[in-house]
Amino acid sequence: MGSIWDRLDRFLLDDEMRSILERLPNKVNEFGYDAWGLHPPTAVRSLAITRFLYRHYFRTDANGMENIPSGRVLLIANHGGQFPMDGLVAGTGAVLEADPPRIVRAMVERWVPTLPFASTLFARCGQIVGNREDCRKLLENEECVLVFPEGVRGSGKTIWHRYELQRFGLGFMRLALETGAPIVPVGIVGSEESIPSVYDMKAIARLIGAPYLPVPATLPLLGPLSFLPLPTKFVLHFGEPMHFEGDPDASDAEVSDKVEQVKDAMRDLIERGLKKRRGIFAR
Amino acid sequence: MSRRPDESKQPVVITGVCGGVGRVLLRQLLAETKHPVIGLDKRNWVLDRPDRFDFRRVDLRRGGAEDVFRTVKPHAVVHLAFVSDQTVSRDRRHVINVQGTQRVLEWCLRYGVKKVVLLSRASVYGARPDNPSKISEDMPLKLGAAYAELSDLVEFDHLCRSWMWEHRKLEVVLLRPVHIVGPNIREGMLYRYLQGDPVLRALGFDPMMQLIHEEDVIQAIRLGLKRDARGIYNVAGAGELPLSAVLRALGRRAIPIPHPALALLDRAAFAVGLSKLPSHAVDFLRFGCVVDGSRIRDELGYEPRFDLRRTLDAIPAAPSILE
Repeated sequence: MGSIWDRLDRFLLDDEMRSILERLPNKVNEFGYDAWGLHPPTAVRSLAITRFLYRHYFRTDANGMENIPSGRVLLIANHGGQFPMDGLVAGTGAVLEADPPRIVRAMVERWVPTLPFASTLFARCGQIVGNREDCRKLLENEECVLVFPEGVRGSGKTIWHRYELQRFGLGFMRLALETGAPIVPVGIVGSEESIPSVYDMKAIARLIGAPYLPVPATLPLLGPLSFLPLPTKFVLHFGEPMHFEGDPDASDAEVSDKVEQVKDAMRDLIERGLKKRRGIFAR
Repeated sequence: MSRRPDESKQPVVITGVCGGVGRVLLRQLLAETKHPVIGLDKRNWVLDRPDRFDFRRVDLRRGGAEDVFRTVKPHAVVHLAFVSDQTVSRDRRHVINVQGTQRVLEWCLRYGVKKVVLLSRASVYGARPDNPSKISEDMPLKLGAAYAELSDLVEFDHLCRSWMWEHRKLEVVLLRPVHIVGPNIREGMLYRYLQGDPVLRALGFDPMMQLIHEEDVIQAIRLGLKRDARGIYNVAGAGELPLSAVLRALGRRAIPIPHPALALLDRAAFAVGLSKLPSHAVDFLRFGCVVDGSRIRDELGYEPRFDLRRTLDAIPAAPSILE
């Protein structure tokens, strides 16, 4: 009995993951947890599983990982593809390929904490429910925070609008100005075709309290399986850190100008990713 | 500029002095300051009575208590006469926690008290799934919205807050400590929960918890007593850890039960008196209620002296079923 668990543990916590665990910069208390519930040994073991998806299922090609600095940083990425595969792949990449490895802290939906097991797993892996205040505290704690400024406007969009950046929220820029955290723009290619939705059933979504409800193009063919992400080729581009200065409480118009600069950088990165990719399902 | 009279020898009143926090505070004030201390409680004081300590057995809702304020003219009041025991009826808790506090605050104003320190609790924020990971003092108190039977806790907190703004000449300090533990603490939700062995927990949930040692609460109260301190402060201990780690560290066995069943079970057990934890406690087994304790550190210089390990060690063992 014990030996099966030991073997499973050795399988998850292999040499690569063990070395990552040792190099993680996260500050934890004497019991191994941080204030948000992150437990690095649990996070790293879970990442051993997402590593399989990252390398073999999505065959991820990560570029510019050296642009992730070691202290506080805001990763700003495009969002698409219904399920947050983009967050999963970018987060796995930041642990596997950045130096030092970074556990990416992202904000999860507010209903996640009501789910048994998932709530605990997400928290142990460093994902948090929170508001802007929490984000600020994370950055002040020198953490790496991932924000999708498009929110559900991005993730819920149909396949016809793939890689078109939607309207950005401004909160992340105010946070960057407030905390002095550099912004690393991220272009993620691959996620936006992972569940190709041809239509958003907004009315039914509203009825069940979901932000959107996709109709995958593969629905007639695959039925419910069409809600599983397709094995698309992922290409990540992490851009050079951008530093902004100014009043965090400036008017929306002034902050928008800065946000546009980030958006432009992301457009370039996505463009590079699309050029580099030989096809949606390329090897 | 006229100087205030020497405050260090002015009398201090502690209401509810027979409780755990009251006893430890009394001991420290007598040992480390020159204040004469007057303790009020409707329970009897059974320990010895050292010098400079005057115990009055009075009920705050009767005349005798006001006479103490009238004759002693205390410089400061620490109001600890508070019931959190949910087996006490809702009406009675309202009388003690809200009306009692209202009277004490009125006396403070009428008899020229300079300072009053009151103890609310961090659980007034409620354990909700949409809580931020660190709750600051400005967040709304969600406990009352979710559980009408706990409205006295929230009403008490609001009462103190409104006095803070309406009567500026009285320095009001409202502390919201996290779960208080220690050798003298024999009350509170966490204490009652940990009295069980094995304990029940919600399957698949493992919220972050914050504990504070009784002596660190006393430190916060004493910082609140300092001149010019006023305001609302969360008071946290040395760190956060998940419920499972608390139970492991204390060697408690835990039986995980799906939370809907757990809530039903607890409601039934509470109704017949087998459980002293009301149904809202189940939410505290599912969702975190973690506060940000940085304001009191920054403004009053509070620094917890007990680390997590020593705080956990101070929790009394669960009574054996055989006893």
